[in-house]
Amino acid sequence: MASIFGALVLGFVLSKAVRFPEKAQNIIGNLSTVAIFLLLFIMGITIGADPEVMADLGSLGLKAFLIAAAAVTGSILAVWAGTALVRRVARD
Amino acid sequence: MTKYLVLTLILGILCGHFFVDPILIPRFEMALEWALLLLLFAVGVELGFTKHLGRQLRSMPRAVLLLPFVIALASVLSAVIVNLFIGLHPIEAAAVASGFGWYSLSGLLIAQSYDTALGTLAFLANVMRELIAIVIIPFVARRFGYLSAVAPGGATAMDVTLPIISRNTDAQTTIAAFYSGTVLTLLVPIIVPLLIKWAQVFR
Repeated sequence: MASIFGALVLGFVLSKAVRFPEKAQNIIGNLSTVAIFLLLFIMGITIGADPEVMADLGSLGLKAFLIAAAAVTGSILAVWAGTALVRRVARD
Repeated sequence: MTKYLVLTLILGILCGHFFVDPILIPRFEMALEWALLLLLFAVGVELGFTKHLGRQLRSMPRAVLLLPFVIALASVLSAVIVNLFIGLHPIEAAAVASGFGWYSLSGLLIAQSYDTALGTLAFLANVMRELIAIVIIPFVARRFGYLSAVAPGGATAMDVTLPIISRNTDAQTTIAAFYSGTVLTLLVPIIVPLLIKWAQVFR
């Protein structure tokens, strides 16, 4: 948690301290894309290598999906409605 | 891009399943942490490139502070509602949804102090939340507005889904996402044990 925040701040401070040329900025901009591919690949390995998780995927998979899909849908709609409400209050 | 992200995860699962010995899992978990740090570092660098960040921050409405709490409440309530078709105890469903996408911690907390099967369910449900988020964030940002794109990722809006939010929205939303993800991440180790304690009363 602390290290996560540290990594973000370090990246931010570095990019403010060093004035990168436009070209370097574009290249560095792709760094987060590379990192997320790496992250998902390794995450896949930790799931796939765990025999218990793989065995339970069949029986628990649908329940897990339903809960995940509900949480995602509900929270999107709540933020959407909340944003509309705040906008309306701000306008009046 | 989304298609390739999902394919990469599937490729990882297949590689892990066929080529990786379970003994090595802790090593890959450590590699996972390093990849996470690299990701956050990269997002930090990109935020640094943004011009007028201070002005954007100051112009952010104060209501944004409520964002993580709205996401938390809606996630838990929706899970309790959909649980009518699943049949867990409602508090168990609430505990599973309170992982907010942080699969490793929520799965572990529930498996250790309550029930292994429910722990695995929490792990899977929160992995899927992260996956669904990766897939739909671009669509949500376009159709429901930038701020709504922060919701699907839950706690992962501070790490895994942050670059996806950043790519599909603006710098102001990226900051809001980091804030919301951080608060939700802090809420997981508080809410999950509380709900589990509550669930134990009914067992």
